[in-house]
Amino acid sequence: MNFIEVSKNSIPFLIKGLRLTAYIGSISLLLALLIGLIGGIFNKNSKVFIIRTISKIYVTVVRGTPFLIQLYIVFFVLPSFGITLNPLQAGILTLAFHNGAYIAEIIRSGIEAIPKEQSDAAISLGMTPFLKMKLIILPQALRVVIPPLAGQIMILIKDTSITSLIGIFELTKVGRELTVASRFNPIVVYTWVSFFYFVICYPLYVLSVKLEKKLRLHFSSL
Amino acid sequence: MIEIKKLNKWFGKNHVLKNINLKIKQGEVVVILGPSGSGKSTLLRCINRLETVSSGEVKVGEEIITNPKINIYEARSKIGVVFQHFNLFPHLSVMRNVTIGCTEVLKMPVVEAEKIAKKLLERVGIGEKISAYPSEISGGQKQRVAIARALAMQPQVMMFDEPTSALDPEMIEEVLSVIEDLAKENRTMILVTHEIGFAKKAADRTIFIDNGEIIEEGNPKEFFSNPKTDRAKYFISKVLY
Repeated sequence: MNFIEVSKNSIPFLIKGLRLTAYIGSISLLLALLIGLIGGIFNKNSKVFIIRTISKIYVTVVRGTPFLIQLYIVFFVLPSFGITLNPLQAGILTLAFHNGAYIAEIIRSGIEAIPKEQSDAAISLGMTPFLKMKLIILPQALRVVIPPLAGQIMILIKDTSITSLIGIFELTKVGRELTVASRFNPIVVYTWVSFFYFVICYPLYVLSVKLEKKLRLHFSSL
Repeated sequence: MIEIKKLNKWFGKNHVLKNINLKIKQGEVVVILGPSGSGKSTLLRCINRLETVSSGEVKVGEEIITNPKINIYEARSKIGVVFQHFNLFPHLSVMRNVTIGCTEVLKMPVVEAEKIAKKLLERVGIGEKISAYPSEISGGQKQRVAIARALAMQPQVMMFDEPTSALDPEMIEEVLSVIEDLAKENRTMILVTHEIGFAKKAADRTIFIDNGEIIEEGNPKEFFSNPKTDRAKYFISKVLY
């Protein structure tokens, strides 16, 4: 077992897997953020019964069941109902749908953290609920939730590894196949796999810290 | 300018405003006084429908505020509000705090809004702070920004809910003088305040509210020197330390 030899042989394949991971990660992230934004605004504390109910069911059921099970349902069970998706589609959709619920709750908590007085001031200027949300509430809410949101984004990226279980050849699957089918040394391979996940996640963390510092708001007596 | 008819407001079982009837003329400066919890702030909040009334009617200018069918957003843009805790938008600069209502609600072009804002900010004495953020200025300065923000909308009515109650004593003067200045301009103004001196100087009428009811109203000087009701007498004895 030659660490450098095994590394040299595995890294090209791992990089290919990493690209797919990045691809899946970014598309499902954008979708999850969209779902989360809508779910955070039209949330389970809404005054409208329908919104309240749908939102409550969504965030409790999706967060109360494992991501892997949801993935299996989307990939293996939906075809019986006429919806057949290829692994990539199933993976991206489920990742977005699953993490969207968490992001929705994170954004909701940010929105509700903004003092009612801000809302009063916006309303008193004659702002419609839309303007109030867009100009006053959301800009502040999103700043407040940068830490938990960044955390959830990192979770989403790492959850892409679970999609390996429906046959997507992202980073984890490639790594596993190298150790099982090609019999490469698992110590070497999985070290690199972990490293590559870290290489995606750590910069995200650093970015979130920088963003947080730059956008920091001081709430005391405004 | 403002007509309030038989206004009643309940918060759950709490009868906070009891059969309020009030008329305020164009250009009148009215000061509302009363003990804590008497319903003064709630009354103000009912005028621009920050709170909905339980029964009764509120009319501001031509608009019946209590009518659910009106464009309440347009109606609100004509009522300027200054809050006890300033409520500036912390993520926006002082300039942007003042212009945001003009550009986004009144759909004014940015250049015009900034011109108006600059003039107002200079008028209230903080021309040099236009690029600052709310967290960087003092309470008295924040309140003056809040006043400029309300004035920028060119409202028909200005409402002040205890504008100096959250300020350090040294800053009260600078804010009150701005408000006194406005009072001289034939603006319709309603103030909830504990500043007796201001009421005597600038108000056309004082309204004393206790426990959700209007107890006494009339000329400020007469009210303070010769209150007619017992409750008013008691209140004044407590306030005029």
